[in-house]
Amino acid sequence: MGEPTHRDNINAELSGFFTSNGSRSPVAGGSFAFTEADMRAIIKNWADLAHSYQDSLRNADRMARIKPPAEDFASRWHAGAANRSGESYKGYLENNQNYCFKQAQLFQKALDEYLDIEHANVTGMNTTAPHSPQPGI
Amino acid sequence: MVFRRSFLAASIIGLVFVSACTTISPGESQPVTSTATNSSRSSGGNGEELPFAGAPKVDDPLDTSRYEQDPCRALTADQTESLNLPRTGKTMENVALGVGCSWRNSDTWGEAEIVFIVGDPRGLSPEYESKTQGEFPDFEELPKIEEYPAITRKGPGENGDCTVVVGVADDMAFESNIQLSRDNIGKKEPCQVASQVAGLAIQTMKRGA
Repeated sequence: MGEPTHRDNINAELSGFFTSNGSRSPVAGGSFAFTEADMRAIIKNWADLAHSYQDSLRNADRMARIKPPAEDFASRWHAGAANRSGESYKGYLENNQNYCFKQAQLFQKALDEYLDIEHANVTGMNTTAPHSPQPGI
Repeated sequence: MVFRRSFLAASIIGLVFVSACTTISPGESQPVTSTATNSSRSSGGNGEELPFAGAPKVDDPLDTSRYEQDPCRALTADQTESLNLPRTGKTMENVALGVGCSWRNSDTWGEAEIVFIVGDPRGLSPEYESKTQGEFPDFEELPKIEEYPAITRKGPGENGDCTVVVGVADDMAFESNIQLSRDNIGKKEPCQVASQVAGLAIQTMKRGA
């Protein structure tokens, strides 16, 4: 954090939560300051977490291949209960995956905007067209 | 009283015969390997005939046993590079019912996984069974991939992900799971990309690379 603040820090404005010197205040405007490296680490953590939820969700979907062992009352009752539990679990995984993914996207967007501005300031040139699909996946 | 005694004697004799027929063999139980599973795949594990539940029959089964042992060989380095993914994959851990490999680009967030469902060697049949039971309302039959039937359980996810399941034999299916890179979300159709990745894997396996 010893770098010049205006070039190396990214300020995520959180209105009315922190004052600029870090002390807590419910009224005054303030900010969190992140270096570019901080932002990249945060993005990676959110993306990894989203990925982990996604893998769990795929495992849960695959487990739907397994059916109740028999058609007797106890087996069917247990399968029904397990399916309800499974559906809740999948809903939980999907919500968390979406939440983590959106957090990663938000931080990435903030970083991209900051870096685009910096790039434009330095070179005065446009970067690669941001709206065209990229090659590969 | 005579009847009770003769009944007791008959029971004792019976027990002696039963215990005489029981032999105890020493040994250790061993898990069935996927290779062993391959050689004995003529029907599902419960004796059910494959395919069932309306799943299409695979006329020209593909031998995937070699890739089940090492799923990271299912895509070549050149193929993954063309997808903007790392040239080498990582074997996945804790895969339910399967073995798999993952190629993930942490810069773009793009990812492809190939998972062989070795823990349930019944091909696409259980997927069609789930469909008939309404478990996946967005289940969709896809166009054949390299002549093999394929489905998606629930179509594209809102974050640019999709799972395509390909039946390469009546008793073997594999998944192509993809996550689009963040720049391609909303610009490419995830299930088409997953089908493309599955096609590349089948080409590799047909060549035996």
